[in-house]
Amino acid sequence: MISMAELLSQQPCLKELDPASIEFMAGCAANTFFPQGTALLREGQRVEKVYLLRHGRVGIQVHVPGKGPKILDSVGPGELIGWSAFGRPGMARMDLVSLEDVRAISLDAECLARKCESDPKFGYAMLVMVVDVLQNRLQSTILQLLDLYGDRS
Amino acid sequence: MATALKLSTHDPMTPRICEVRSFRRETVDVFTLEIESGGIDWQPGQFNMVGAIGSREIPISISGDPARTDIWTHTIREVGNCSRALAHLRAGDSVLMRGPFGVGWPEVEAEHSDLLVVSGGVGLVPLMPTLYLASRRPALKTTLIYGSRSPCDVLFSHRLAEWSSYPNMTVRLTVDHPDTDWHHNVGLVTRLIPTSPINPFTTIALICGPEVMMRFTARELLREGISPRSIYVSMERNMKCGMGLCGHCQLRGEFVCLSGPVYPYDRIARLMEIPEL
Ligand SMILES: Cc1cc2nc3c(=O)[nH]c(=O)nc-3n(C[C@H](O)[C@H](O)[C@H](O)COP(=O)(O)OP(=O)(O)OC[C@H]3O[C@@H](n4cnc5c(N)ncnc54)[C@H](O)[C@@H]3O)c2cc1C
Ligand code: FES
Repeated sequence: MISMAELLSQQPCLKELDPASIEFMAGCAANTFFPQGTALLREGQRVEKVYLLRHGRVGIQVHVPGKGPKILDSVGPGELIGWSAFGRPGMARMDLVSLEDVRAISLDAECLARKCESDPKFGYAMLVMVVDVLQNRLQSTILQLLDLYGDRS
Repeated sequence: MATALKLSTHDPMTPRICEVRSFRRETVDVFTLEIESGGIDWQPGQFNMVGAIGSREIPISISGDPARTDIWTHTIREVGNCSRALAHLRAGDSVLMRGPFGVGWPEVEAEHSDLLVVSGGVGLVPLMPTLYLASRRPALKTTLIYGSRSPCDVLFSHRLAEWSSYPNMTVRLTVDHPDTDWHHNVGLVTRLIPTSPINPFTTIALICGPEVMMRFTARELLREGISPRSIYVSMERNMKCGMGLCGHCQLRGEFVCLSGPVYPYDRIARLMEIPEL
């Protein structure tokens, strides 16, 4: 059977982490499954887990009064969600809902935070990884605001 | 291409009067015209200057299956006077055609076992001929990443659904504004690149869409380790003559109608970064 460290090392967003850091991280990780339509997180909830998606997609949505839930973004296999766990006060900013059956690796946020504090090298590698994820999301959101395909000019 | 095809011997500045064979609406503002071609040879990524009678000509890429040698297929978005005039044409009507012009997509050589196509909006149109060819090459692993504004703006959805069932083809769709029935991705095409199976040494990447999208996509591909020489983009500039005479399409030293519209990224990257251009 494939070990948790091996599973983690296959995740694209962790490809810069060295084997020792992956092994260290594996101590906080577990496999998890969400059937389609499950709310992994609701806006305002405390974020206790960070998820690395292996199969299926998760929608990032906000509830618009009078219009219902609106999906703003989707995250798929190989991507990381729940990064608000690293911020203060560690609250979900939006709803995360599984759009399909989802298999993910969950990383316990408290366990990760302890490891980051005890090993600054690991902590820095985690910071770089999360900044990378945020940078991609932010860039994509900003470009979406341009409505590129609506107005081709 | 088949031997029955021939090169145009016609004066390239004089339009041919061709017959429209069919009109098909694709989305609320995009339509496809099939126009008799007279069997003239063309390459994927090339374009024709197309004009309704009494209206100016505009550059439009060829979007059809290269196996169909009797017709030009043109898929056009209505944005202004000339494209709207073309939207009024129906089977049996006449249309003015000059071309084909320009340098198209490179042939996918044997050393490339992976083809990555990234497109946005009507940017899918010039890539369709290459995708038709790729769909018939089982040894070529092809990934299409295609972004649209909303689900009802997705072009050629039936064809894409068929291709996604081919063992050698992966189709990844994404929109900016999903509706409740949308079961694909949401967000910009660049988001799907890090999670696409890309071997930087065997992949050739073709990009077409709004210029901002192409710039960010190319950067993302470079981050994945693809060489700038294996990345190609298709540039859009205003065009008039289509053959390097008038200078309308000039991009510094490049006449896009002549040396483009398709360029290897290493040749055009610097010009894409200059805001004034
Ligand atoms: C090589 C090449 C291939 C092309 N292939 C296709 C194709 O296959 N299908 C297709 O629909 N279009 C294609 N285009 C774009 C097409 O040529 C233009 O949309 C067309 O010239 C618009 O003419 P118009 O008179 O209808 O609009 P105009 O009156 O010229 O413009 C109306 C509005 O649309 C905007 N606009 C015009 N052209 C463009 C453009 N290229 N990009 C963004 N905004 C624009 C203008 O700024 C203006 O606001 C291609 C362009 C090039 C250079
Ligand atoms: S369109 Fe005239 S030079 Fe290119």
